[in-house]
Amino acid sequence: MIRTLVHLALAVPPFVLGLAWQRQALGVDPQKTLILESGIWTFNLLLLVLVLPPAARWAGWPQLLRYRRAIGLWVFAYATAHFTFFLSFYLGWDVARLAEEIAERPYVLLGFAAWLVLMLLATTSTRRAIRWLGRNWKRLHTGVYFVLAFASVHYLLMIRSEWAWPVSYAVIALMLLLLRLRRVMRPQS
Amino acid sequence: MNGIKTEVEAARLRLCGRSADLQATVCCHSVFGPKALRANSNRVKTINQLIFLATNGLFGRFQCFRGGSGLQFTPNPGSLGIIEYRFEEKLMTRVTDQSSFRRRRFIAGALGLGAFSAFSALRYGDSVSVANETDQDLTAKNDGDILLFEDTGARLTTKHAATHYNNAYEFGWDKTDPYQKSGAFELKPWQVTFDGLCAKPGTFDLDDLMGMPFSHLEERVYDFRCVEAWSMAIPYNGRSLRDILQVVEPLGSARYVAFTSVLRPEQMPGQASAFSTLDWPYVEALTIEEAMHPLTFATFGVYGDQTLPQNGMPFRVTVPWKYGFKSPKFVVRMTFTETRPKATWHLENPREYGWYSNVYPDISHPRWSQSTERRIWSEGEIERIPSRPYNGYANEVAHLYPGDRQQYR
Repeated sequence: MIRTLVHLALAVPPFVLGLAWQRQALGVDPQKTLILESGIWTFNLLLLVLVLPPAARWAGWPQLLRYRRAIGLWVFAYATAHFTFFLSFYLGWDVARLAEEIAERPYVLLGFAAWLVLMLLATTSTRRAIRWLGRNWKRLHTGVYFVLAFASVHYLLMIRSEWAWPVSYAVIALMLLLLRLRRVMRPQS
Repeated sequence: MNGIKTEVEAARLRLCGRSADLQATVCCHSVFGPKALRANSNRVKTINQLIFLATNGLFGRFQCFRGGSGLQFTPNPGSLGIIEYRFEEKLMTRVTDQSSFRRRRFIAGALGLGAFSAFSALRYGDSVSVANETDQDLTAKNDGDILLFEDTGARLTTKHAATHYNNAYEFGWDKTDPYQKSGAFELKPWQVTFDGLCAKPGTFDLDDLMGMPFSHLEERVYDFRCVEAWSMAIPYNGRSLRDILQVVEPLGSARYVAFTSVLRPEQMPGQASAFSTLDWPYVEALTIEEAMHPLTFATFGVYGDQTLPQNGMPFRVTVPWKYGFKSPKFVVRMTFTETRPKATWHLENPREYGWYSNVYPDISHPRWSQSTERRIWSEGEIERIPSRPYNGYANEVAHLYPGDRQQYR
């Protein structure tokens, strides 16, 4: 029941965007809007996934952690949409140009690297993969913090003059990273 | 998985069976870690009824024991996740203490608020229908395929697209800010001051600069090429800038012209923004040869319309062979200088925005590949086309740039 609600809520942004796209309500340059929105929503959900553990710990509320995998898979879906839009609208599915973009532009490199890590995490999130990887599963999935770091810098590199949004996201990301680091550093008694 | 479930079920039954003064400690590694868990178990001293539910999610080991002796089960490592424990309602207040209850409410509120504000940012559809109403007359005459030249198939970008997708950081960084936030901008009166190294400095009204009725001005269709690798074909109304510059008689020592845009933070929210790193007012500059080139266009209107601040009206300078930011909007001052004036974007980031900023498809920009551009024809109709040196005006202007092109990027 709650699980269905979670999935429904996470399907709202693509639904709204898809509907608006179909109704030609995404402005003069829908391609740019779609790339921007899919990127922002990837980041939103990424922050949500990572804010849940400290929140659950703080409030003594373990139920919050139940839907992490579901949200995590949505992060990957959003990121894939973002990457697909970039590939088709900006590069016209030209793989040679993708290689060139990755080599020349750090923000493309970071975005691509983040997507690769997300793909690895998504493919190892089945029950079977969890059992197979055992202890290493947790170690591997700590890689989501690399995704967070890549995404932050990726967004910071977008700044041309207005810095409010990218910097806000980066500050939140940094706080989450520090929380995590503090927890890792402190010896567990 | 199944085996564990059974064990938990058994535990539940046994605990329920002895409801009085049951002590329970829950240990669960990897969900909260031992530390957090211990804190929890300290809180949970006396329990009447304790129900364990095993749900999948995380993996790890858990143990449950009553006192020191009773229940204990250890599932296979790496197979299962969370233990959730619930208390009967009458014990809820005793067990879930006040502060953790408040914290849960806080978290729930924060998540709800976050979702609400994020979702409400997804308002698509309504703003456009409003725009359609007010701009019906504007879009009507240019919508559809208007062929400019039958033989080449060249056509215009619709007025709706060209007036609803603009860069004017004076109004904000978003492409829709210029038309959405320029309502308070006053177009009249408008004066332009000429100073610096010229024989007849002075201030002129816009009508004097036009020198003729607006309807008599020349209309030129230029390809407008933004540094962000999108482009439009736009009809501009105006006259060659050099006809105006010649009136104030630049001195022989004048090597550059600087164009200063208007500074009105009270009417231009982008100028008032605390989050913009741009240095206002906007300043752009050309060499005197560039400014005197017949293609450089003193612009008083677009699509025959003088009332579009988002396009830089009432007065801008259009330089079609350079990236769009080299065509300053809302110009109020032109200054003739001997030394190279600053230019706003160049100052902001010289690596990305060259001082000349001619369109060179083969010179890659750190942010956008410039080899192709996305030509915007109308709302949602976008075509990827190859970019051309000097934006297609190479025959007219290439002679201005002898030697290595890298220095004119």
